[in-house]
Amino acid sequence: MKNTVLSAKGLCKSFAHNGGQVHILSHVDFDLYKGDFTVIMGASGSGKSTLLYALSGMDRATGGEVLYNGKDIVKMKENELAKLRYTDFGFIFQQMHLVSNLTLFENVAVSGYLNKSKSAAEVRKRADKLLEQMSVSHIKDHLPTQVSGGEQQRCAVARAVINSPKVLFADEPTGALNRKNTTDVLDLLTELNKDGQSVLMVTHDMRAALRANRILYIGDGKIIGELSLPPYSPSEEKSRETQVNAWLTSLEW
Amino acid sequence: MEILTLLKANIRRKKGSFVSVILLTLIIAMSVTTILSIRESAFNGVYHVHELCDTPDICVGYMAHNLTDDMVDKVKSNSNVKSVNVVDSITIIKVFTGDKEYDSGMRFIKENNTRLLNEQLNGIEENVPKLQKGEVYVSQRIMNNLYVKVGDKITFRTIAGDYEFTIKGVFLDPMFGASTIGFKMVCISDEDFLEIAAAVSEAETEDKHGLAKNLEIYKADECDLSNIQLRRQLNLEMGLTDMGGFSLTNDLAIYYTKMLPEIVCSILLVFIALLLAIVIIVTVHSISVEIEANYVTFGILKAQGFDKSKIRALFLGQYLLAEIIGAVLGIALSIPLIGVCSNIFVTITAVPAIMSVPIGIIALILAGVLVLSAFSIFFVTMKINKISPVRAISGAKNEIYFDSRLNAPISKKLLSPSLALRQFTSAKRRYAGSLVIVTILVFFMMTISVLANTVTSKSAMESMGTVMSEIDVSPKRKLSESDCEKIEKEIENFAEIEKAYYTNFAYFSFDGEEIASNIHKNPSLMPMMKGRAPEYDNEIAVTQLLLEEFNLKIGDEVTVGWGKNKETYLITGSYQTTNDVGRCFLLPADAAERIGYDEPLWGNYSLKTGDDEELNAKIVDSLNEKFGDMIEAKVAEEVLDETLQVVIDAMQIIIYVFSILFSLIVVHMVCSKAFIQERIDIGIFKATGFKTSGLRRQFAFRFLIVSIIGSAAGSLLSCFFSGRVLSLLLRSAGIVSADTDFGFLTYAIPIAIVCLSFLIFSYLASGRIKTVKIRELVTE
Repeated sequence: MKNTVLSAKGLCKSFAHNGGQVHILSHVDFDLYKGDFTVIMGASGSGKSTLLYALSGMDRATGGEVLYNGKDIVKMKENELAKLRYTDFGFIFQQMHLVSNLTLFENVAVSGYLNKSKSAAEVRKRADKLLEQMSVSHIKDHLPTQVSGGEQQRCAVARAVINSPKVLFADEPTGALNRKNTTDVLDLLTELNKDGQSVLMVTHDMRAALRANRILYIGDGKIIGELSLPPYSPSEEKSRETQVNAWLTSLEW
Repeated sequence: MEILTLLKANIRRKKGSFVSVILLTLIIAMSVTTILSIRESAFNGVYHVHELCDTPDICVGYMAHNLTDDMVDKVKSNSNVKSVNVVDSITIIKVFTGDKEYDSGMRFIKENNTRLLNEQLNGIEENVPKLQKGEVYVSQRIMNNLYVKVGDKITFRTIAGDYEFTIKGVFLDPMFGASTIGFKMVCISDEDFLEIAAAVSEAETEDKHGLAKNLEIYKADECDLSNIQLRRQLNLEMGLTDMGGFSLTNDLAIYYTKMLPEIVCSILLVFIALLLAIVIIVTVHSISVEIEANYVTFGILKAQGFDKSKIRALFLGQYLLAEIIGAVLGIALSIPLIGVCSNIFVTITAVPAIMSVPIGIIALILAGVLVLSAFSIFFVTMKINKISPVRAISGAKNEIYFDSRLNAPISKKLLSPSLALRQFTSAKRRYAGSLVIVTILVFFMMTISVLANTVTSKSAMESMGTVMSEIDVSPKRKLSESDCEKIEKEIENFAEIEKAYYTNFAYFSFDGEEIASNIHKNPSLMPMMKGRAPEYDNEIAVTQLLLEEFNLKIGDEVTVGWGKNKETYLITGSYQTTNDVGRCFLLPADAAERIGYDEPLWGNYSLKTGDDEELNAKIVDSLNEKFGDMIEAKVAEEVLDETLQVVIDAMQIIIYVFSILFSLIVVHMVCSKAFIQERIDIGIFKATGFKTSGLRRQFAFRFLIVSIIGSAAGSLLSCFFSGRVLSLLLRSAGIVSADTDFGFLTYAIPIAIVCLSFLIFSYLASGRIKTVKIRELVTE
């Protein structure tokens, strides 16, 4: 029996458009389990990123609830959500989004500084460790514009996990990267997941999806398919790819 | 047409910037128009009243026995003189009511074709009632100094005794009416005049005179000498002013009347010029940021065939249109303001203003502003030339909008301030304009505070040649050395004397020209600018302005005359004084006696205890009780005329209010641009857990840093240049080297106002951080 970390019930997201309503998410029910590497896939405009943002509290759902630790984050105030972001949730963007006038180290550390339970020295030590783990410690004093996209994204991963979040959200983290950097970032996420980190990732990249032990497929604002897989192992990648491909094809991906 | 379409779209999209530029230009145009019009209106009033009252070109005041018929005939027969008019007058020792008095020299004259200022002081009374016995018309300055109004009773002291009168009105006196001229005429009825003249005549002794005459001289039409030159010539030929007590030419009267309004308007115009510099800086900054923010758009426009000059014309059109709208609105709004404020200087000029708007000069100035602005826009839009369509569209522009970064560490304890400092240090260029603006505002606020401080500071006024005292003693007879010692000893029973001045003020002939003189028993008390104070009876010091006017230098000799006596004196040094707007020389009492000047000297005592009202009143009582037969002691009056104090306070308020207003607009504009540039960063901070309130504080803190650094620069500038600026502005009042008095509040108030304005306004402007959604970071 898996432990649920995050649970969505009847989640809806609509936008007003040309005097009418456009429904992006339509009554989505979803549980995220502790220690899982869950991937959400779907066609462009299917609502996968919207679901991720609604689940992570980065954007407010227009209906339903998202329960985390027994609390509905849809109803949380702005300040409560802010606290949640630096204590329990980590987020990785497709476009890295590092603060441009902070060094890589500072980008990571500043997020850590927000967490009042840790001293500045502890934050700095952890930031150093994470940057080393992400293989960017040698360029930690560089500004984001002085390093490659892959290095930026690795730094963004370090920033996302600096406060040891309960859930790590990733929105197409490899979408802007080349093949080599994509592999590096996916390896990092896999490594983190192996260490117990719950990961929820949106992607339309097959290679990224292979890292998951659970894949959800979203279409027309609803989860229309789910595939469970054993934990990722590089040696089984080929067979895993065939299995996922077949499943996706059955969903007319 | 295509430019027009883009222009409309740009204005619609950037209403904030467009409106801000309109507002800034509106303030500038409105201020310039109002100030120049008020100045012009006041001066027109002065010229008009001189014409209306047909003021004489030269007026010389004599004791009656000194103006002989022979002298009058000689003046009349001079080819440069068209006509002369002899006006009988009676000297007044002082006028008083309650504890207020005025004793800067006055004369009774008979009411004759007098014109009155109306009750509102904004026009001339049509019907002037004939004065009855016991009624008087006085100058506005007497009303100001005695705090009286029409209908009040005041008492005039003559050598024949005191006479009480009821004030019936303020009469128009273009020659002596201005608050900057000490000497005043007082109109009374024929009946009163004859009665007082008879009493004064009876009271006259060989040493004490009261009957006087004013000789009014009208220059011949063909005379090509200036009034001052004619006065000098008549003096050299027949001792015109040597035998007189005072004299004034109508152009000097106009100069003195215009002096204060001119200084005030100059200060405000300099301030407006600095505000204009701020508007240009803000415009340039705004355009620069706009170009960076719309790099891709300009690339697209270029790809579509827009050339650089069309894009630049777009900016030129957008900003010049805003400035023209602002200028037109500013001029329109200033018209009612001019109507309300046109008589603002009437208590100084004592002449009602004639409303006029110098539209030519204003149009010229505003055209200059537009040209300057166009030039700045042309300069700053040069970077558009460098935009390559391909690079722009492919997003290859320089992503680093900040220019450098300092290694100021990001601290956990001071997370918001340290992040704010980083934002500031890494985008210095963006804040450079704001820094310059704060520097300018603080500098000018401090300069005006320094002016206010200086005119109320004892030490500063002393160093500028003003005798500052707590106790003044007017002698009833000439005081001997032992009299002076007794007085000083009595004062020292209460308080230690810091400086004891024995002075008088009189007009002497100075190389033939009538010039005012500060007569001092101990001239070494007067601070010298160059050289040394005169010590011997053949030495004098002259003001820097007089040295320049007469083309003299220290070491030169000049001829000084009193009555019929003349002697040569050596100039030992230069000093400054505001007496007679700096046309003055310093004469030791011995040196004055050498040419027959034998008037008693006044005692002015500066005490170490300072302005202790209770103690000073005790000293005065004691002196009057013990030496009442030889002196009349009184607590010294404020050196600064109440009217002048009001003017300085008003200027300070205007400059402070404008500074706050400009801080608001500038912060709004700079914040808007910063907000556009940092929207993504704000989103990132929010996504990592920063609260909106913290980000707002961080945003505002940056502007606090800007205002603190700008304030420091403004303070430094003020330290070095406020004195020079004031010297330049006050030169027409006789000050060539203003001694500035910087107090703690001189720095603290402007800094506090600017820093608080920047902090509060930027915090309010940062409210838009609330609108940033993390969703904006999503790339779909």
